[in-house]
Amino acid sequence: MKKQTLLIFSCALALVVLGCDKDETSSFTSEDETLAGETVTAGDKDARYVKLFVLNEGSYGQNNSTLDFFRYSDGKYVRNSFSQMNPTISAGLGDVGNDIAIRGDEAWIVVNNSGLVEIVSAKNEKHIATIEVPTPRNIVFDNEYAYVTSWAGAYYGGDARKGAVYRIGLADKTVKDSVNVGYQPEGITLSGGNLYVANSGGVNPGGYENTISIISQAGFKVTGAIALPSQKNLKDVVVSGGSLWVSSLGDYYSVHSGLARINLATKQVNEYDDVRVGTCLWNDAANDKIYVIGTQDEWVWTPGAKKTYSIYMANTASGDISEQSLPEGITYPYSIAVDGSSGDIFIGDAADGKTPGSIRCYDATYSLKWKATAGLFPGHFAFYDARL
Amino acid sequence: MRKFFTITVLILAIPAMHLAAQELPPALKLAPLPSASGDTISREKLRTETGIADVIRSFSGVQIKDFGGLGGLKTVNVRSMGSEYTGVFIDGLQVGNAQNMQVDLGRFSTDGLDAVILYNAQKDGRLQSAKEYASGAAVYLVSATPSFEEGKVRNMSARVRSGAFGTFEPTIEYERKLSDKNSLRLIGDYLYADGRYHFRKFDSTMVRQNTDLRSFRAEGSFYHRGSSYWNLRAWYYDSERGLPGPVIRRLKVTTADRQMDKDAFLQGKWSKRYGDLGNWGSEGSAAGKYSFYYTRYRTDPFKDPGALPIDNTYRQHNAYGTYSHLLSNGKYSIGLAQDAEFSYLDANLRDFAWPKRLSTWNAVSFAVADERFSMSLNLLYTFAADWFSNNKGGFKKESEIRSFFTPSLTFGFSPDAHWTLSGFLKKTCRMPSFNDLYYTLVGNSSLEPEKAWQFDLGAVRRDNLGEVLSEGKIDAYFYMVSDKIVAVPTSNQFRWSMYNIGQTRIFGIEPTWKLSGSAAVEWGFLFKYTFQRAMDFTDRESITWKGQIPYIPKHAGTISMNVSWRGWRTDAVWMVTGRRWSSSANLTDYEIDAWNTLDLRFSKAVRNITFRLNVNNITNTHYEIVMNYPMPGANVIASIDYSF
Repeated sequence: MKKQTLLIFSCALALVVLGCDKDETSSFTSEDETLAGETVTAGDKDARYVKLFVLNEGSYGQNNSTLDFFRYSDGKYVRNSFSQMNPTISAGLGDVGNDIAIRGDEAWIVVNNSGLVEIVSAKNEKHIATIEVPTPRNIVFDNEYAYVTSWAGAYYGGDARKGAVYRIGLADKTVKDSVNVGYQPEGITLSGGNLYVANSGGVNPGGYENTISIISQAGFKVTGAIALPSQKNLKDVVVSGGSLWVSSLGDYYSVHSGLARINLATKQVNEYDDVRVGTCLWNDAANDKIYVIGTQDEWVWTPGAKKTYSIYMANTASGDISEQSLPEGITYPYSIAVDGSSGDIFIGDAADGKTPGSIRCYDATYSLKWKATAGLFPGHFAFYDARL
Repeated sequence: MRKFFTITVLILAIPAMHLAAQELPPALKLAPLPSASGDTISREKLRTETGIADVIRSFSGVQIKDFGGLGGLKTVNVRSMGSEYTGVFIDGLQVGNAQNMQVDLGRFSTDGLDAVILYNAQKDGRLQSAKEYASGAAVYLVSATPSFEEGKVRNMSARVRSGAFGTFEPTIEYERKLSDKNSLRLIGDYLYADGRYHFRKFDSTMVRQNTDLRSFRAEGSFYHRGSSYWNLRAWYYDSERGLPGPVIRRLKVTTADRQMDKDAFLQGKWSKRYGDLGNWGSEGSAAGKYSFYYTRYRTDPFKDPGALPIDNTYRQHNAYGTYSHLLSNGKYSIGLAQDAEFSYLDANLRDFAWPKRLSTWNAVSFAVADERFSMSLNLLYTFAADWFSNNKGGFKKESEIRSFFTPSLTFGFSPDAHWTLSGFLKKTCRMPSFNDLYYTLVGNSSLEPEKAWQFDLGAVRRDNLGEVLSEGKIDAYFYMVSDKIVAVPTSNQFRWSMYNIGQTRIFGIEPTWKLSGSAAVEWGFLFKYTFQRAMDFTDRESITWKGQIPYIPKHAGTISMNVSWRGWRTDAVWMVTGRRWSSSANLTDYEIDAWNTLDLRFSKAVRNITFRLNVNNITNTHYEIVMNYPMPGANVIASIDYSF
């Protein structure tokens, strides 16, 4: 009954949205323009993007993951848009949003502890579909499928459970099948007919993982693995400049976090041991650059110790890494995104993890353009480009 | 460890039995110390409740952190200091838990108890162990020495309790008079409940899943009351429960996590009046305790499609001994106490630290008391040495020593028969728990103890209005907690760590008014209100600055009434708790709604059978104490008690 109402409501809404699109082709309008937002900067109707989505993870078990966005046309930052646009889903987005990716006019949101992939309209955050995937982590698309890494692969007993990649059909938005990979897989990317999956072993009794599983897109079978020589507890994978780039978190006491580059043709591995990883990797594909924030003080557990954070930028064409100190005023850098067209840099600050975080936007020279209050643990960004 | 305990008990028992035969002067006559008199809940009221948590929640200034349902963890926090500051004492010996310093009240029952007493600051008994001075607040569960009617040598009672949550709970209690001086009590209790209840959340009514609880409890106590006094007590608790987890957005509820516990302790306490030396009498007391906790937590990936296989076991051993001595001439007294405890935690976690801790407490107390004025000064020195495995999880040291000195001063003054003024100032430190220090990937072995300063002033007025007794009481307090141990996210995702960064200042007022009458109808009326402003003073720059700390209501109150007449008894308890926040950032997103519940209790004794009916939350209020852990709505529990 509720679903039907929702469906009719969504259809009616879609018509309204289409109607609007026909009337005003010059500027994008949507129902979510009525949502109260904080004006953080002057509007820019000619911006490259329509919105920057911010996924706040929330606290584990508190069911308070939220979806915010910054709208370029009016310079507004809107908080908690999913709940505001979907009042009938009173449970909200769910518990611990772990990834967001845009495909066409849809935003796919991976909600880890709720075991859901939520699909919403990128135009107005209206709910489109919910897909169940146990303990999902990260998502990537090709033309036919969405691929979601999951900590819950097939289980036959014992004290360890392999992770898996679930394959979801884009046409009917249902799970088709899954393939087992290593322990607690995190990031996933694709290139040249293969999927690359970073295995972490983050909570594996046998220890941390140092392998990347390779899955052929055609057969959806694991065809091989690449092991890193010294880095472990792998996190994100990105293909840029013809290489596969992998971030890792280390074991927290003897192996530091780091970044590695794998030449996909020769499978040669080059580990950058000086890079520290504290956020997700950001892939600025247009400029062959990768960004990550970390600190050399990552093992300093002394109460009250100030930690010095750096923004690491890998030039993926040359393989060079440059380091830039983090701008002042950020307590706990938790995420980074870069708009490759304008050079603007967005940094999510998780503050003390108990109070709302914030988003800061800097220009290419790291001078602050604007700041907005976000939700708990603003961890993931996605740009929405209506012209896609 | 077991051997060590056996030896301790023997050492305690031998002189006790030996001295028992001799004739000694009568007990020391000591004027009362009204300053630290506790808030007492008596035996009659205890019998109307089904668990200790339900009893304790009606004390002023107390928050029970309740995760809901029969199996949900229930801990007590007095005056917002944190549950680690509240010591729970069974017959004068603390329920120690070095792993997390929390006591799950759900495991203890009111059976065999004479009173439950809450002391803010500490019990002021003069002859007491050093550890009894060490808590910020103390809850005492005092067992009753068995009493027998003329000509009887045995009391037996059987009870069955059943009703809501699929509860089935048979209990048997057996008391035996062994001689004029010696008696024995045995209690056996079995509980099975499916624990299910309806709750409302996310605009729909749901049933709490994976809430079953099975437990078995056995207690044996031996009492000796001669020229010396001693008791031995053995306790065993075995349980398995489902952990329903928080209510979050899910399409289906598949939670299948389980927790198994086996707790046991064996304790002995002995006290003895020695011969006089001039005007000065002396008294000694010794006690020992060995306790063991086994906890197993496991997930079930076969039933829960998203679960990782986890099967963790924790084994904790604690061995404790104390000797205290009191010298007194009736007006002045000097007490000395020396305690020692050894704790060890074993777990099958990756990179675990296997911590061991040896703690000692030394206390000296000086007291002066007559009918009008009393004062006591107590000095406590606490020392703790930890040893733990090095090289994993970022620990830099292999051992760590912590020590601190904490004084306290209590005083009372009774200008006339109606008024008593009292107060205390006290410093309390709380040692970091094993979880704070050594929990894999979270613990921080360089933590300092938390420190708290407590200031309290109170006034009591008692009036005897014919057949009605009136007692009005008001307490005002100011507490400061610094170096609070708080979990903070680190620069590594997935990894949090513990730091001494919290600062809290708590200001509270607790007015209470008690009336009771005992004419043809016995009745009682109680009004309690607590105002607490518990402010986060951690970071001036943060939005949390001066915010109310999590889960502490600014306003809370209770009105309760009871009437007894010809074997009938009715109790009504109305509890009101104001809104709270789950974070010191007091934003609407973190707000937890205010709630109030009305509970009714009926009982009727017909000869040696007592029928009881407890109707809880009669208005079917849906509420949460801990965010996303809903509490049960209206429910009814009935019991029949047969004694023979």
